[in-house]
Amino acid sequence: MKVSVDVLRRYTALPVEQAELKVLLEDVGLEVKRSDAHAQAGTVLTLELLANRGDHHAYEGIAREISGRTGATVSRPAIAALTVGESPVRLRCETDRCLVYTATLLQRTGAGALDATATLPLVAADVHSVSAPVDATNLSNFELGQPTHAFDADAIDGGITVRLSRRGERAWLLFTAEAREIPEGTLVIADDSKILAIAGVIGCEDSKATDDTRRLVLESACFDPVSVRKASKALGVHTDAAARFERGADPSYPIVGAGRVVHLLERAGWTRVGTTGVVGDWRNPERDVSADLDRINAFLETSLTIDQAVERLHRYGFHATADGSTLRVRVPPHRLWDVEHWADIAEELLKSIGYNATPVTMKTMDRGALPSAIEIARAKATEVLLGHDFYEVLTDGFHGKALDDRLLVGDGHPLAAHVTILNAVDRGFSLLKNNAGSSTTSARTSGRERSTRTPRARTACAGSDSSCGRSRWAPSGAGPAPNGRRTCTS
Amino acid sequence: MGRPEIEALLKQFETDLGEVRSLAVLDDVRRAHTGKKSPLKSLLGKVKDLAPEDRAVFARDVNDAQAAIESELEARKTELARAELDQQLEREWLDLTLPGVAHRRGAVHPLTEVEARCVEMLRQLGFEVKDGPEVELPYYNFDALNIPEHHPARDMQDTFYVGDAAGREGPKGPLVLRTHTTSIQARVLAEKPPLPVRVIAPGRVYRNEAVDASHLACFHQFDCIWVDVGLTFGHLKGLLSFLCRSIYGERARIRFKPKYYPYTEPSVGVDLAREVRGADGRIDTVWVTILGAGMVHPKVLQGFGYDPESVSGIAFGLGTTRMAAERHAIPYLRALYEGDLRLFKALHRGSGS
Repeated sequence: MKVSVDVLRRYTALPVEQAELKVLLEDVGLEVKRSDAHAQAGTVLTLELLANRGDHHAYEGIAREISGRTGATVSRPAIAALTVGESPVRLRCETDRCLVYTATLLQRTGAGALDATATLPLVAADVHSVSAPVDATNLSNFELGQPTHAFDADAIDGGITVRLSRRGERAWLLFTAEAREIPEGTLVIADDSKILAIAGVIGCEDSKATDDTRRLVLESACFDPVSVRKASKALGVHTDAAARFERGADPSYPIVGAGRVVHLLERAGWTRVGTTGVVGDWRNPERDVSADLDRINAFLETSLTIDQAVERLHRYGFHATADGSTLRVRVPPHRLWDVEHWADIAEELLKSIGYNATPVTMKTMDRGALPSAIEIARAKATEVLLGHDFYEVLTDGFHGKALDDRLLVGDGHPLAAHVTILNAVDRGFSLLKNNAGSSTTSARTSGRERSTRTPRARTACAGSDSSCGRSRWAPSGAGPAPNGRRTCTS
Repeated sequence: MGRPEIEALLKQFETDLGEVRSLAVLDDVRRAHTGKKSPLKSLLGKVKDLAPEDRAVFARDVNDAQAAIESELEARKTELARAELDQQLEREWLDLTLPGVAHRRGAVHPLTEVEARCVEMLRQLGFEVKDGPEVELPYYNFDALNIPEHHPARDMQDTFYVGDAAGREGPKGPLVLRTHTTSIQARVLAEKPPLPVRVIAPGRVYRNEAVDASHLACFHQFDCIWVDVGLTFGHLKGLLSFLCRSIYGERARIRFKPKYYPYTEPSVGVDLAREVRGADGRIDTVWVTILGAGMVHPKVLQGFGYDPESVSGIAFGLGTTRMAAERHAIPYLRALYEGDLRLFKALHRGSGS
């Protein structure tokens, strides 16, 4: 994720020095892959985020992670307070794979664009400006981690239904030339006659907001991560929204995200119409995780007091109470998907202290280990081979059909029954070597092509019978000698 | 006094002799049964107390018994000496038909060198090398390691699925080419060995991804696991510090940072400091990630039948292909698998041809 340091400062206090900021970010698990100077967005950092942390995919989440270490407060951008009530469009949810779905109607009442300062997160991320509604929905994702989508309200036929796609149903996805069939059972947003969007993944051309759009239906929702992930994979469409939903979004945030978009659009010539409709069965489960602080202190070799632990957890958004040494930790909605065990709580406390700030100890070892008989035999054989001018060569585990010809392995030969790779992206990876001969032939071929002047080059190849994983040594033929003759070493 | 007493002595001798397994013990038995203070000698000393007509018979019986004992001792001695010689010959047996071990003229692969160095270090700490299949059940590669189906972590390691020669899946669905050698750890833990478990799992792994200068579809990894009672996060850091300094030198600077791996909690990345001279001539410190590690997730331990309330685990993995390339400043990882002897000769002898 590309992050503007200037924008991040609006969310929480940061070190002034660039080098100090980099150390801080990496110390809390946000790896800085590169740093660039941007004319508008100032310093832009490319961050590598932890794979399981959907909440890190937004400025607020990054700020919260930093706050967990520094204890500095986290600010949120301005958000319009939405009133939940009768939906401006007919709303129905037919599946439990949609946790919450909200719809807000907006009408264009003037001309305007988003404030240039507000769009800096998009500029920093190299996201091109499309229109005020589209930019505002993108900003909600970058700022708060809540993907939203704007439909042209006048393109919606009847009401909106969240449901699973039916057999043979087609949709014209954004940025594509024509409609395509959608796999049956995909979570979709539809009106009475067509699919409006693949839930959590991408919208459709025939309902998208354009410059001519006068009325918008703003969608802000939370979808089941696995459903979004399956749809994204099946369609081969990967978007920022899908990346966020796949990792588990905050089910309490659709109304917050919608409020942010409404706030931005109300300053760009749009007006709310009526109240915000909400469907979906999600209720905050208010999950508690019990963690024994004595146990955590022993595990981390720290000496946190109850008060210190409660305060540190609070920085990350956890509400903790204590009963003796037992912490009862209420998991906030933005961490519902990844915190469920006392070890997760220990990790939060460890991050707040710093991985490098806890003791380094060594457990007393009672004994060493001896090599196995196989290792000893292999070492002896290796030593003999090395003494006879052999070089060990490793090849990759893949096999091409052409290699069979060199090995004189025809159809019906036992060695022709290679293990087949079902989903190789490259034809060169379609088969797996099943004998050391394949490896030695590969090595010898390579050696012949490249080592035409190598004198008395002898190779030995640690081949592998991949079906059982036992590697073994096998002598190969020699490379060419200086006089053009080949010496055989087998 | 008479035959019963002599027979009891002989019976005791037979029992003692039956337990003899070495020449040293045999000597002890000899002294016990024929020495000056042996019961047999005591019997001879009592001859004078017998009636004159019984003396000769008794003395003859005792002498016969002594002769029998000495005979059996001698036979046993011969037998044991032969056995010990056989054992010595077995130990010192030399296969004269083997080629002689000459001065090293060839070389092992750079990757094998790195792997051997790591094994050597960890063996001092009681770690044993274990092997496992490259074609693996999805259970050991994913599910047993807290990576269920559709988990985003499966994206981190795009997987090759395999079938038989005709491209058919197995009866229980496709097998996979292991994406990490952590699958070997899973297999080891599934056998429920007694604690402590200290295992090294080196080997080849596969990822279905585009090949470029720094990524390969097939490369080598080196995984370790230590499961024991009372292991702490400090022990993890201590072990990793020891390993890194053993490999990269005592003055190596490392740092720990949060990472995410589904089978460890907390998960850790280890960075090594590298001094790099910039274009302006200034020396900068660059941190390079060299390994991933963590405390084994309690769910994983529980899945293998360990009680995570008392038992904890340490796991870490090294990319040995990358380490070998870095050690020899090889810019393209693929070169390590191409079998170009000019490269290996240059690396090991300091001269190409």
